[in-house]
Amino acid sequence: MTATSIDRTSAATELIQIFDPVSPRRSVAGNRGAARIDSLEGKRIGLLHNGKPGGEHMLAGIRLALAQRYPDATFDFRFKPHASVGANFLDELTGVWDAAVIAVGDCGSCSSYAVHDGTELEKRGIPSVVFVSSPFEDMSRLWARRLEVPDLAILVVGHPLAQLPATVLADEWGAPRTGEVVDLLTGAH
Amino acid sequence: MAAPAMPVLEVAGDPARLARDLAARNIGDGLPVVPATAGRVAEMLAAVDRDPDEEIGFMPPVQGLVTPHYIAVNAVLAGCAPEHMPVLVAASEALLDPGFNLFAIQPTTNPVAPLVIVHGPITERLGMNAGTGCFGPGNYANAVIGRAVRFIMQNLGGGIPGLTDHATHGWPGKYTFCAAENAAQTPWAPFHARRGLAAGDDAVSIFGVQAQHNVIDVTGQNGYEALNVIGRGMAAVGTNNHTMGGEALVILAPEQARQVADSGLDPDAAARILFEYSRIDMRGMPAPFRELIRVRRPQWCDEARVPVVDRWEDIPIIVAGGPGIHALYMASFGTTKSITRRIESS
Repeated sequence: MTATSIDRTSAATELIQIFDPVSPRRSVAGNRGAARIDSLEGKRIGLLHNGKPGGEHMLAGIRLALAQRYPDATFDFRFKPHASVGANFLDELTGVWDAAVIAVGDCGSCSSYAVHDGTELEKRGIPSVVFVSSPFEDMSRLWARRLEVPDLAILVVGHPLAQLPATVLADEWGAPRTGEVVDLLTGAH
Repeated sequence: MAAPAMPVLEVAGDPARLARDLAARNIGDGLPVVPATAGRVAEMLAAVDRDPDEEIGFMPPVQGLVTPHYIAVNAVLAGCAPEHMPVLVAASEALLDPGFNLFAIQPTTNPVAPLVIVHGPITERLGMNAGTGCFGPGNYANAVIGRAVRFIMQNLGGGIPGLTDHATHGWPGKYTFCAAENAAQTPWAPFHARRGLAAGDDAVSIFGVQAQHNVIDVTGQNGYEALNVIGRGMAAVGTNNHTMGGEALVILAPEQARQVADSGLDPDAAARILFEYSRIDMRGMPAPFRELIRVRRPQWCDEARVPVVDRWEDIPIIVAGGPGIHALYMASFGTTKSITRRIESS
């Protein structure tokens, strides 16, 4: 090999300039998130199930715990069948919901659209909390920044979760996070 | 390179080291690239009559700027020649269509990739492969156009594998996935003409699909028998079509298309037959799974006959490939619509 080998030393160390193939991102306006509410007392709380199995049970646990804590709060449960698109009824909620809880993002596309729905509700003046499972946390926080609600309240849960019994998701995954939900909706955190 | 106005990277000149460096920066696909020098990018831009800095849009999910300049840089990097540039501009515009749903397709755990199909006379000019092995290796234009589309999604849209592209497994179609329609052996109007463009137009279509499922029918005596078998082959459990509906792409080999046409069937009639045969028997499946589909697709109450799509119109049929009695079913991402755009030549 010695006789025919090529000296690659100079080629291996040579530097060249190429155009950067990564384009700049659209500038974002900053923070278009909603103001927090003072308390959940007497408020109408929206519970948005994004269609991913398990989310409805977590929301049920949170609802029960919130109802015990705020007996005069009311709840509105809404559901979208497909998790990988935005909810098509968000405009109906302006001035109707005082706060929102969204569950659950446990995959790439459903987490993206859970964050999308959360940021859209925030832009409509509705403080929101979005539940996302751990593998999708970083991406979700990035999307929140790109969607102009950089401080979107994202609560991280374990993964996987969809196979867990309803009672476990309600009583052990949802209800125990209620204090954090309240803090994030009221700005007490 | 003479002091370019656009941002540049200083990288290794050695091809292997360059590939490694770019991969470390989350740029490209890990394979060697062609350096996007000022001269090569200028040649690429000269192939389209567009302002290099025209704001075509912002690509989801990171909302990266899409301009002819950035398309050209990625085209060079992927190995394209200038004559491919008009296809890439049209494909980029198609990717930006909200109906294609890049905000979900880029980050999803699903193994979905955009299939790029090129239509019209341009396929001949580019020397594209519409025949034997058209989805496989060996054709320059097919390979680099599909690769450039992936680069655009990654470098402009920000779909970075492992970071913002969460495909559980991914698949080789995410490197490149492009072919030409076999118009010469299509017994009907070409696909883009069925979508309202002129048959003589050049066009590109993108489909958000997963890997091909091959269906071979070696006994079919006519189009009805062939479509019976293909339709049953489409009845795959657990695809996004099954759980969500949406479009389901079918590629017919030329001799199969001829068989269908000789039975007096046009693509619409064929899609109606496929719709009837592509039914899934849900009986015996776990109750939660049946419940999921009942909730997501409530119109299908006959559990013994749940179709893979909600409407026959959601089964686009394209002819491609060479000799052989094979058909391909490609389940889609579900919440995506295929997009067809005319290619504007300069």
